[in-house]
Amino acid sequence: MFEKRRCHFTHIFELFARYIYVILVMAFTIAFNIVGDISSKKELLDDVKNASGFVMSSGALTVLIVIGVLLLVSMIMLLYCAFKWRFTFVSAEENTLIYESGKFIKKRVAIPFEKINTIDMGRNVFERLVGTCRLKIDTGAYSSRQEKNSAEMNLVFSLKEAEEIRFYILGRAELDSRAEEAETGKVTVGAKEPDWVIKAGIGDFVLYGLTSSSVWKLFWILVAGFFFVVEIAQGFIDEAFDYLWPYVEKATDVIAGTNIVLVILGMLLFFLISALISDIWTVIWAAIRFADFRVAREGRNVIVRYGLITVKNYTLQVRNIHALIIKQNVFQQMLGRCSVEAVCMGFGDEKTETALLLPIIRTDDLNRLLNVILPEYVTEMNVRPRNKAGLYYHIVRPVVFWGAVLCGICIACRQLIGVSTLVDALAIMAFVSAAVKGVLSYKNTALDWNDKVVSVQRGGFNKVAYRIRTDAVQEVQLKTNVIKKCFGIGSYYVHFHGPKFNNTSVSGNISDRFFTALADTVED
Amino acid sequence: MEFQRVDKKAKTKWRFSRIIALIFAVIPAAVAVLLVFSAIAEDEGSRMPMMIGWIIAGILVLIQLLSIFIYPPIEYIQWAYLIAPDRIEIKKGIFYRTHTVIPISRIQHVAVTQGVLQRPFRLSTVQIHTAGDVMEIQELGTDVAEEICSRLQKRVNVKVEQKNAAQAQTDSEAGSEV
Repeated sequence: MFEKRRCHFTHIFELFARYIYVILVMAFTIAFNIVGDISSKKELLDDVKNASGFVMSSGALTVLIVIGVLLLVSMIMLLYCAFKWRFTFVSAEENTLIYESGKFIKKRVAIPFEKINTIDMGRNVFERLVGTCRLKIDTGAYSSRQEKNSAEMNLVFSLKEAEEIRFYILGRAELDSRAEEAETGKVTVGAKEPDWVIKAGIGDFVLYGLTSSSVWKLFWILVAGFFFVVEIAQGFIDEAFDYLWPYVEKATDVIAGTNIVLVILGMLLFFLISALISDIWTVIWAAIRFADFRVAREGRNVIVRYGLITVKNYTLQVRNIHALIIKQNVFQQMLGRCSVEAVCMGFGDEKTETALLLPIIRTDDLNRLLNVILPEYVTEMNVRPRNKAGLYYHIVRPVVFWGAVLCGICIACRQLIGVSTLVDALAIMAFVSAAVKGVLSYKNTALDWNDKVVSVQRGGFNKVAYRIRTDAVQEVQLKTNVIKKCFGIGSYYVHFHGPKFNNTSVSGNISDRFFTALADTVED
Repeated sequence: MEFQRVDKKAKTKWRFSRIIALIFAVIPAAVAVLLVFSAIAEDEGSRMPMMIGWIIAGILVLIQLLSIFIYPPIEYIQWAYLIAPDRIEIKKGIFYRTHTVIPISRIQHVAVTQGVLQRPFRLSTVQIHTAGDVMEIQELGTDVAEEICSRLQKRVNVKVEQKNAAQAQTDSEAGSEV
């Protein structure tokens, strides 16, 4: 056991930082309103002059009062945070971690060590500068409001203390050789580094960045930037528009007179250049985020550590990993790469949390690497026989639908604006894209199971495969409609126990004759 | 074991609740649509918007009338449930059919609920909570629902005891090996 200990004093400022956002938003809103009011009355300069000459006008006085009130509120909030820190303690008894907080409204949480699912030690820039660490301890229990399913304990400690607590919990929970040391208080902190089985190199980050970038993200950033500029510089935009419009008209005329094949090639070139610009940013981001990525299997735990500026360091208990998600976007499918995430109780239930296990690996190496860190999930996906009805639903139907819609758009455009090579080229590209997506969707749809794992796979450009532990599957559903029932196909929904309430994986348009066998496997 | 149907009074309850929806939601919505399109027709001085308004309002009322008079007997035939020793199966839906299988060992708890419109017909809903979802067997007679609830609770207890015994045996075997 260890005695009551208080978290690091910088916890006060981290608590305060949560409130300061609200105060800053309030301050900016009020300031903008006041400045707007004053400037509309053309009193701003007079107010400044009066204020410097100690003769206050009503406008300047209001600004000072608001600043004063906000400072007072900030001070009160800071004192509240300090008070909260002063009366927050962590201690350990025989086999329970005790978290106590509050002086007037007291809260005491007792978490048995064996119920602790995840120990997350993350460090942001500020914490690295002052030598502290955010320790999050989560049991994975659903709170009464299930959408707010956060960690039971989320405190800042010095790195040494956080490591001590982590080793103590792991030692007690596993009753391994460290337990004795922890009981006697002779915990050798960080004395033994785990045997890292996976270490990602710079080449992996480059490949991750190149294959993970999204041109759409770049597109939306440009759109948002454009509207921001429009908002702040309306007059300039009008002038720029007037200046640029003749060039736009000229470009449209050139496109109209060009062969449609050249237009499509030009658009593909534009797409590739956009992707390249987007890639540069994503490679830098991946190198910073996943720097020094390493994974280790230590007894019944999987330890993951990565990050250059914000360091992530989490320990997942294997028994609480209920599924693996294997993701591949279209580039990764082409290059035979994939990324792997774990669905772990007590981790990944907050918006920004993802229990990433392998950022990017060769698909051929997946089972070999899993055999080292999570042999429970090693399986060869056997694609169940596909039937012709699936072919219709995945490929023929979307191709016919999009063909009809795009033809309609082209005809409408011809009626409204005349023959447009640009619209025709866009329609052809959209049609080809729909056809490729359909073929990929048909190819990627798969379902397989054995007594350990149920595998569900789907997706077109973005392929997602779930490997779900059979005993974590809660129910299986087969959804069909009247026509699909005649063809003997349906969509399989596998609901499983995960950190969020309704975790479901879906695979559509597969023969319905596998349903009974799948249900029988899940029951066992 | 054979699939069981829901209570026969379910058909009356479905009709009753849908008539209420017709009076308080569908007819006011249809009237609102007609008012909007009549205003547009007046503005444009054309009869076409009014015709479109009548078609939309007519479709709204027609769908609700179908769900009152035609769907309940079909739903009664399509809805079915099976409580086997090791699993629960639920089938439902008219056009889009869903077949759900829940292993008994995955059930966390079972609850019986009764809505305001179910009360006059002495009907209830059995809610089956697992760690991943909540499934419902709707429109059962209250006695049947309570009987199913207690039966399921007993089976869940038996399954849990069996599982605990198996786990204890596995642990003891592992201990003896060590």
